[in-house]
Amino acid sequence: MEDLLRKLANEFLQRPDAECFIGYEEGPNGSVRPAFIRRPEDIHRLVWNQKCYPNLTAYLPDFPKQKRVIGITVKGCDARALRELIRAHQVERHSVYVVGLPCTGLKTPGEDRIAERCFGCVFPEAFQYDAALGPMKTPDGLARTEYETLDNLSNKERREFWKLEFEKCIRCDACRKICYACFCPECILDSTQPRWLSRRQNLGEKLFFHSVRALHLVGRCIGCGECERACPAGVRLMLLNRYLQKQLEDLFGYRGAGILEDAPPLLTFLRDDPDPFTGGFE
Amino acid sequence: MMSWQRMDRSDLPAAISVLQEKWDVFAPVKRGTDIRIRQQPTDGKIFLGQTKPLLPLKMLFLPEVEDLFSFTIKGSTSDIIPAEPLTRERVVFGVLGCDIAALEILDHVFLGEPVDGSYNKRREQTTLIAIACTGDGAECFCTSLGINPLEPVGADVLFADVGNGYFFKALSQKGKRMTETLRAFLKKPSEKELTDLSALVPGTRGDISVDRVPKDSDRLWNLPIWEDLARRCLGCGVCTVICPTCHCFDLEDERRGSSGKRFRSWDSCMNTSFTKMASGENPRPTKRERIRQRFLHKLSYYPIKHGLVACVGCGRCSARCPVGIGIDEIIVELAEMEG
Amino acid sequence: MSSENKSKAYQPKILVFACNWCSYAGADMAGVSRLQMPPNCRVIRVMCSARVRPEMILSALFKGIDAVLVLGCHPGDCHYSEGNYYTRRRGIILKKLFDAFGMMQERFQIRWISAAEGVRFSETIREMVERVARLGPNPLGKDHGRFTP
Repeated sequence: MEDLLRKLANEFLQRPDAECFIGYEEGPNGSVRPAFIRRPEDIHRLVWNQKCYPNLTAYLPDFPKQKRVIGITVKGCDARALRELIRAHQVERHSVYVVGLPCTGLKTPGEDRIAERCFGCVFPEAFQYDAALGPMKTPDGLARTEYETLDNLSNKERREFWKLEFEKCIRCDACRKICYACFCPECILDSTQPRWLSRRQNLGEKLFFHSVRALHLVGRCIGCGECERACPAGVRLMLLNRYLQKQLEDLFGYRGAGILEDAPPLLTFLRDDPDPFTGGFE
Repeated sequence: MMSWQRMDRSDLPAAISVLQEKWDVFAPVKRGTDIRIRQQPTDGKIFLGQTKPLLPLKMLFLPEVEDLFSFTIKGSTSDIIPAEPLTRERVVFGVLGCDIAALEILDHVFLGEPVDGSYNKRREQTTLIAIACTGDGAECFCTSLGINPLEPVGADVLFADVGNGYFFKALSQKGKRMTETLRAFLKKPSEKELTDLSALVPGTRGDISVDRVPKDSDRLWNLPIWEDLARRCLGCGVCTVICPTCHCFDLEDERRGSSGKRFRSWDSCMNTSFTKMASGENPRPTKRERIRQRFLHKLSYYPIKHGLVACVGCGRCSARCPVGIGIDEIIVELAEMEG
Repeated sequence: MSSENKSKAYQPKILVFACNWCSYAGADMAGVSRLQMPPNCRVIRVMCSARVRPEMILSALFKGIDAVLVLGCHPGDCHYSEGNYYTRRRGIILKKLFDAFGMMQERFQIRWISAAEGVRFSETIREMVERVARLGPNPLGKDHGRFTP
């Protein structure tokens, strides 16, 4: 498959309007990292394997809007992100040349089992790729694989759990910077006027940071798990994001970012939405 | 100065209790996969191994968040009450050579004129017990920077975990004070144990030729490497948080009415707005300028000003960067420029 | 808590957002009708409940306020036609966020109050204060020392 990938990249770079080709290459200590290929002589660096974790679409909003085309390889999850970026007018479809990677699941770093982030995987079946290394459909079994949730924890247990998790958080902002959905040039969490968030490292500040992130991702999180992978402290951010996504499904029938044409849940409403606020206090 | 002394492993908890009568004791603690330096006693197992704690030793000398003073404004004057950095002396167990070497590097900034009062007090009142590290982490290259992980300069006491015992060797007056306090637990090691101790050799990568990196920033300024790195770099700043020599900090006031506090906290040159000025101007507007600055600071400006490369070869940056950027690879590429 | 607080019972501090057209007018109605209400609330008038962004609620709660109450027009009666439909969705999702964290669920409430419902306003305030008094002070309040003496 890597031969086909390199062939496609090579053909793409021959185009007069090609800006660059974004793919994966080998990194330090056996890892895989993003590669920005501009010259055909560098194409041999491109790889495709089960360690190709980064979501390359996160780089797209940074390219200035221009007439040149950017080649990019996407897995199923990444393609969902791309659809959301297009929907949010951060990327124009005609400015990317999309090569689909027929991913059947990435490996847990350092181990020989499928990574937890891949459980519940759903490909955006309606998306039209410009080329693909194989059929782009949801891998069998992964869509229905059970992943870890907060469901079995009582209220008190959840409180204790997050207190410990956020104690690990070092406010490094890696989760924010690696997330494809965090493309705001001026993030509210950096604002000085007003100063929503200070640099104090107490629980209140950390709760605020992660709550705002989770809420701003509502309906846009694709469950790629990059936030958790980037976190040097191993904070279990996926548990929070997946929890909220499940609520969107149960409450509003929203099936997930970038999969189908469901309207973004916080930008729409129904007159007969559930209303827990009419009666007494819950 | 002194020779090795042996302690039974099972005596460690009792030894720590004795130390706590005079010192606050800190040690790396393992909770799951997370290793951090924490004050004893605390939940979690004390971890005296060669895996680096996530946050380096600098956190005890330049805390992530540190109150500087509290103030009350009265008309045109104000009352200022400085914060007290330490109430007791401290002993830190299980620090690694790379982290200690980083302190020697930071001393140039914080103990040079003007002396940073808080950092100075913390340095004076802390005894460092270093692990004799063979440094064979895949990412380690401290020996390339002239650091001996087996006996790091700046350690007060050397500690080794060999065979059935824990071994201590005082290297300074402060260290001697500590080993004297523990004399009830310490005895002479056996011949075999002494042989084992002298057989430890460092296993880190010594092939990163840092001295071949041109120090002249004019030569390094317009290189294409900065553009390449900037494309990949996310600007997340994890490298600056976990780097033992990074030390930029921000000042902030919290105020309610006429009273408040001023505190400092870790800042990162990788932040978009690190050099943004009140006018809106930003002399480092893109990732390219910022990532260039970070590496020139460590490899050019610092050596020129203080005579030391501001890197200790711990490899935390390349191990943790989500997109695989590490200073070792950059040093190799810049050194190759020399031809 | 400080020893001063032991001598006087804890008084909850509650932030109330009230929309100009319905619930703030309802508050006026309560005042004009001389309805008794506990004094623990700080009321901020907004033009529409939809103006209240989640960060305002989160910021107040995570800095130690004892409760946040968002009041708006009844769904269908919003002065701007649709504002409160968005408030409703946001409120539900915010509640779910608090469920995920296992905290603050009872310290955040939304209620629909119309301009004529002075009694409903005063009852809401009374009920909220009683409830939060029973819950005790916000455990995050001590971190900042801003809302505690």
